[in-house]
Amino acid sequence: MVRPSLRVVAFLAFVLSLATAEAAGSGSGGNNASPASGGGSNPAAGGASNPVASGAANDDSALTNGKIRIAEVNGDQGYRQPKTAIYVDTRAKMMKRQVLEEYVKFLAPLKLPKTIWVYVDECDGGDGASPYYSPDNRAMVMCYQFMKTMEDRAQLIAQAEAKNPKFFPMKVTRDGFLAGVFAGVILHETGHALFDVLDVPIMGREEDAADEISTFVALQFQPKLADIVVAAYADVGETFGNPPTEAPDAKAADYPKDKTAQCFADPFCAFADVHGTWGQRFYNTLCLMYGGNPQHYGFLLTGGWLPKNRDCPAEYALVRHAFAKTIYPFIDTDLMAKVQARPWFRSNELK
Amino acid sequence: MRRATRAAAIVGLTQWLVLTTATAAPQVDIGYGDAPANDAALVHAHDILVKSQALEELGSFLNPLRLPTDLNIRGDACGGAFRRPYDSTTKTVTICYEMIARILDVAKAQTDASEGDRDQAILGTIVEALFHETAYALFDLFDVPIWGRIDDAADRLTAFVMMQFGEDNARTTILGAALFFNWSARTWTGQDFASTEAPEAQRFYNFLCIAYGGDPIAFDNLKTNGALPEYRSAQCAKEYQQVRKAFDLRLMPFIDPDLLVKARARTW
Repeated sequence: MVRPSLRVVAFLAFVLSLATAEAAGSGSGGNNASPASGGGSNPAAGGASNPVASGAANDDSALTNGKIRIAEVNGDQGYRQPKTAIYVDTRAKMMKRQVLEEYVKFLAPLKLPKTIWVYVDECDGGDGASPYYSPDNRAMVMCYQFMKTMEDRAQLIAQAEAKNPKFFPMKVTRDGFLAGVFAGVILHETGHALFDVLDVPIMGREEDAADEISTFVALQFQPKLADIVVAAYADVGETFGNPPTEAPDAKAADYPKDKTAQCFADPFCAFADVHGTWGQRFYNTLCLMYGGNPQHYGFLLTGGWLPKNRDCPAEYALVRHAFAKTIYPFIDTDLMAKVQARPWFRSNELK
Repeated sequence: MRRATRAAAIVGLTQWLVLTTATAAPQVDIGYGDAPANDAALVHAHDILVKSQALEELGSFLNPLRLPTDLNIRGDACGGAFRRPYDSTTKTVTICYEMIARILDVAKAQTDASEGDRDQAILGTIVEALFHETAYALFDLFDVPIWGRIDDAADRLTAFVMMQFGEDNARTTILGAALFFNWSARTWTGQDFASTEAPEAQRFYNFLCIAYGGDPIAFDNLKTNGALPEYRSAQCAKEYQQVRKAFDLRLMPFIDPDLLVKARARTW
């Protein structure tokens, strides 16, 4: 009985040692040599004429950080080989977009006491697997399944929007949604990572705190970039369901056998989750958007998306205060300014 | 001559300092607003608070805190609202008579429940309400960074504090509050989820999780009887430790540790 777990530990140690060796061998900026990068010659990129869109010629020499690393195994550049064929295409798209290489540059201003890792994998848990942060090996893990699910969801959002243009508070294109959702979700996992390695005191619920990190960070960028991330995050919140309101029929053929699934089907037990309901997460995100930039997101209040009695500027101030006290001291502000000025999204994503 | 004058001046200054700091030591002031005479339920709630001396007890409970300024805790009629937000300008925590009346109503309506359960729910939830509203004041007075929604933060701090006074007190207050959340749970849909307050069922699990996470021996039955689903109970030790860390880092520096020990040794 002990053997399998030992084997897992040994394997993890092996993976980590490989990753460490890889990162040490290639240097902190070694990810630039990715053969899948396409030389950054994205024909859709707006170049220097568009201050927001990601162009071909970003000077990223300063955006390196040895404490934030892509966990590479056998030269996979952090993009694990999927076991299931349908994710091969997802992997290729993510590699082409260089999501990991870009993201470690994005996080370069963080001054971390311990190294954190990032990689993409076909995660355990089947089609519904969600990205996560693992404190056991300090790794943020994006899942191919999640990005595939989001591609399908982009379709649903487009359909829902065609039917009812007022279904979502903000318009976002398919490419914009996918880029925004990736950024929003990996920022959420980064929140968990920072809480862990920076020993951040969390008085409220950690999942909400990670959502706050994601939205708050996005809001520190030019509105056009922030729009993409927060709109996508909010859209996800709106399209997933809230807990059921009726008790399930336990004799029905589709009644789940698994205890956890049974709990999620129950109108009371569904609230046992450590995450807020999707409705709560949707409104929390909108509230921080409005609170952080009441001029730009004023329509959320005037359009009735947010209830008038919720004091969103005060909620934003609370998050800002927590950020200032617990995270900001670990940020290199000169590098931060560079990151804020650099384009991160491409013009097809920003449309 | 000159030296003597200077010495006298210094003595005088010191005495003045001692006197002023002594007289100006911040304290907790308790007060009660009137309940509208034509509202029997609110008058009853007012009388319960006054007679039980719950607010005065809360005041002495806060004794170990090194307050930077006076803190006011008031029972009051809140014009029909269950809660009045903490006032950071006047440093005033309000316990609304409406909230006390509601707790009594919800418990009374549980005709199937035993009297013991009803009493436990009333006691536990009144303590919960007192701590919960006071938590907002502590966050403000001690400039506590709040990650996660502040109302959940107030709940988590409340549950954590309830755990520090022995398993009997913890059981009465936490399980009592949980009973109330269970009894008062309503159906949440659509824009209900825009509320800054958490759904009752969510609060139910948050309280039980801190209890189980903080003392898995005393609260073992929460797991065995299925009150906490497995996928949540597995996280509770981490949740409890997280609140404990936040408490240790951000509130403990403002607490007199000797007075805290005395408070924990006292029978409440």
